[in-house]
Amino acid sequence: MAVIERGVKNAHSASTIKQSPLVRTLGAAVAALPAYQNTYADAPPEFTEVGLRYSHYSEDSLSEDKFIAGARGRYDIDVTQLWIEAPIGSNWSIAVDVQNDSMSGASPWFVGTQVDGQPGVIMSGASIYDNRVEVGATTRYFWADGNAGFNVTHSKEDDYEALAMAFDVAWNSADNARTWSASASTSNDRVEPVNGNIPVFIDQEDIDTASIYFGVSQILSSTAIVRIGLGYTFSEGYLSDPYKLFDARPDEHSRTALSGGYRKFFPEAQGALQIDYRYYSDDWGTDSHTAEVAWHQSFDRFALTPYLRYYSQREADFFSVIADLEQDFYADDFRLSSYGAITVGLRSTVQIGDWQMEGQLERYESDNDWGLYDGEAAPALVNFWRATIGISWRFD
Amino acid sequence: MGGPARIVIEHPSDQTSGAWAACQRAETLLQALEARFSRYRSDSLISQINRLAGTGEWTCIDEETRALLQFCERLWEQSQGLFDPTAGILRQVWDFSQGRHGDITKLPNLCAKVGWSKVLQSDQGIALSHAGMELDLGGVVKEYGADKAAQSFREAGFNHALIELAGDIVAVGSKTSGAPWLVGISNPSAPSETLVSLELNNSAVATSGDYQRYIEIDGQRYSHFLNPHTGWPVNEAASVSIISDSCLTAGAVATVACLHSGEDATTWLNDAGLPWLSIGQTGECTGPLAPAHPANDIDRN
Amino acid sequence: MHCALKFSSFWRNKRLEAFRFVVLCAVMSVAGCSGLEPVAAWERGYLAEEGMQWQSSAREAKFEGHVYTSKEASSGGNGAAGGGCGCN
Repeated sequence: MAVIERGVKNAHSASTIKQSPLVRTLGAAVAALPAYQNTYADAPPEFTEVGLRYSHYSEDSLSEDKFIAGARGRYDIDVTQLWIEAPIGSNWSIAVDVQNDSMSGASPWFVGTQVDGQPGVIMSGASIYDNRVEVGATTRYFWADGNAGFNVTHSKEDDYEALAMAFDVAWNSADNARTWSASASTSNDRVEPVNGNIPVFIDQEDIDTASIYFGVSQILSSTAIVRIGLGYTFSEGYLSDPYKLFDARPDEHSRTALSGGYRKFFPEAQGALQIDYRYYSDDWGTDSHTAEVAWHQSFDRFALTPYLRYYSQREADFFSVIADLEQDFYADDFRLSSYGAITVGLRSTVQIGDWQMEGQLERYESDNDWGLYDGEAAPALVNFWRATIGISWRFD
Repeated sequence: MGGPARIVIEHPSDQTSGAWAACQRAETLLQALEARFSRYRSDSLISQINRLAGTGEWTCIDEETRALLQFCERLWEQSQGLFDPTAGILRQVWDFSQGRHGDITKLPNLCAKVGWSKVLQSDQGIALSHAGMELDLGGVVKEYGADKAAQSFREAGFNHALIELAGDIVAVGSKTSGAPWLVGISNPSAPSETLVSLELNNSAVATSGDYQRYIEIDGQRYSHFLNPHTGWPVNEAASVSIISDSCLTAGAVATVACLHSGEDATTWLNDAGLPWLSIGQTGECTGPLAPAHPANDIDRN
Repeated sequence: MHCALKFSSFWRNKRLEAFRFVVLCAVMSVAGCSGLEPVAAWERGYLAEEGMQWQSSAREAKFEGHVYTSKEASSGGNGAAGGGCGCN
């Protein structure tokens, strides 16, 4: 057969083949045949991906009845994520991520007592404006049975700088039905609070964190998979919040998280059930349960995933609604109080040729009464909206 | 499989024996498929099924065969019954080797035995409900074989290979240099002449139809594809090539395109959304893969 | 008031202990399971579906992790902890 270099110039590869409804239907039948499974060898992606996401996060203003002084409007954050991920040769890939967080708003300074005896929040006097930039790079190596990655991430904002490194590895069993994964990371952070509308009492302090994680995932059937994982994190250094008037935390923090997940596909419905759970416990007295359930519904060229998250945490040992300055450690930070929180959200993705678009909207509300644990209600509990849009492009 | 086959594997020099072993394994795979699905072998699974047509007896089938039949059923649905593995018996009336037709009066009787809905499937296997019915998977087995051979290469660690089974070609990965495999679609009336050159990277191309093989009835040209609804050959003859990630899908779409005629074929091809090329009766090329330049400056080899 | 709170939380804590124990058992039994039907390579098509991934997207997972770690007391659950931030 004569082979001459003319005609169509763009190589036709599996990743660029479009998915018409016909091809999708046939493809599902094709997938049931022996010849069409992904090879057991782990391999880098066949395409380069470039993507951009924009998210807007907006906290509800503090309600009147919990407000004592300061500015009532809480945080608004605009987050932009930009990334590129590409294969290098047949065994490597590289990814570069850049993230910019633009923050403005007031935050709780301390909790006091209102005229009627109820606790109330004294907020920072005016809105802060801060910008955080984070740049990270990950190189990944693939071999027949697994892959390993190394990541370095640096972030900088007005009052905080962090440098983190992480290593992770995944290994597939011989029949590919089980995957073991492990990762380890360290982070060196420096806080140098800005003396602005909130007075601060430290110059510069360091925080060091180390973390490890082990996990395993298992194929249960042709439509179901399950995973479990255990992680441990240890931090030491200045762990208090420098922008809170009454906040003195231990200089060590030890945390454990046990997590699990389950995915089940329903072919007739073209949908997947997603369940995730995490149990957390640390040496500051906090325990928590997190449960998430989602349903991923596929349509011709797009998918919708409604989801629900329930979270409940127990207050830290040294937390009290109004800080108890008699103790060695004390904090009135709502994030250390007992409460329950619910997130309701919807995620959608659309695939058009090599482009994918995503959109997501969620609402988070927290309340002391919704929790599983006892504890006094912190007045500064937060509620927020979050919306995200994104677009990504894959090419050879 | 009834056609020339060519396999190219690019491998490191120290893996020559491994590459040979992989080729032999592919050959064994293809022979096993032939043993199972060939109508010309009386001991094949297909012949077994066909012999028991109308008797009410089930033939046990393995998971792979069941999955392949499922694929055929999906294609039958998607093509509004144009693709039908039971339409093979219509060949008893149309003698394509002679280019003329046989006894047309037999058609109604034969048509009564054609129809995928007359195929019964259960936990016990498969059965053909009417005597005289025949199952013919010739339309998919060669393409499936090419894909299976490709997968066996990947499993053996050879990720740079090209498999050609007559008009069905699968590219495993690219060449080791990273450049895509180059495949030429030749002019059916002058096979040494290449009309279109394709670059493949981890994809497959299947070619269905040959406008050279046709029947003339009352001055009209008909292809050798038989319409299961009417029992007649399709009133059009073209060669259709499709690119997809699997040869099975590419071959399926190309075959159905040849079962349509005129505008319907073009609609089917465009709806499928895969790159396609159609070479018509006078050698004219249409479709997204057709070359931009006129055919008069083709190099000859 | 402190004592009263402690007493009424006694049984609640016992329930939590039991809950934790059950979760741990479930988790261990999954980890140790070997009596599963093997799933042949050609039956794994569904597992590659978009909805069957552990994360909807790596960047979304990173973003969510960041939000929840800064607004709640818990962290972790998927891989080792990443770099910190001055999130308030």
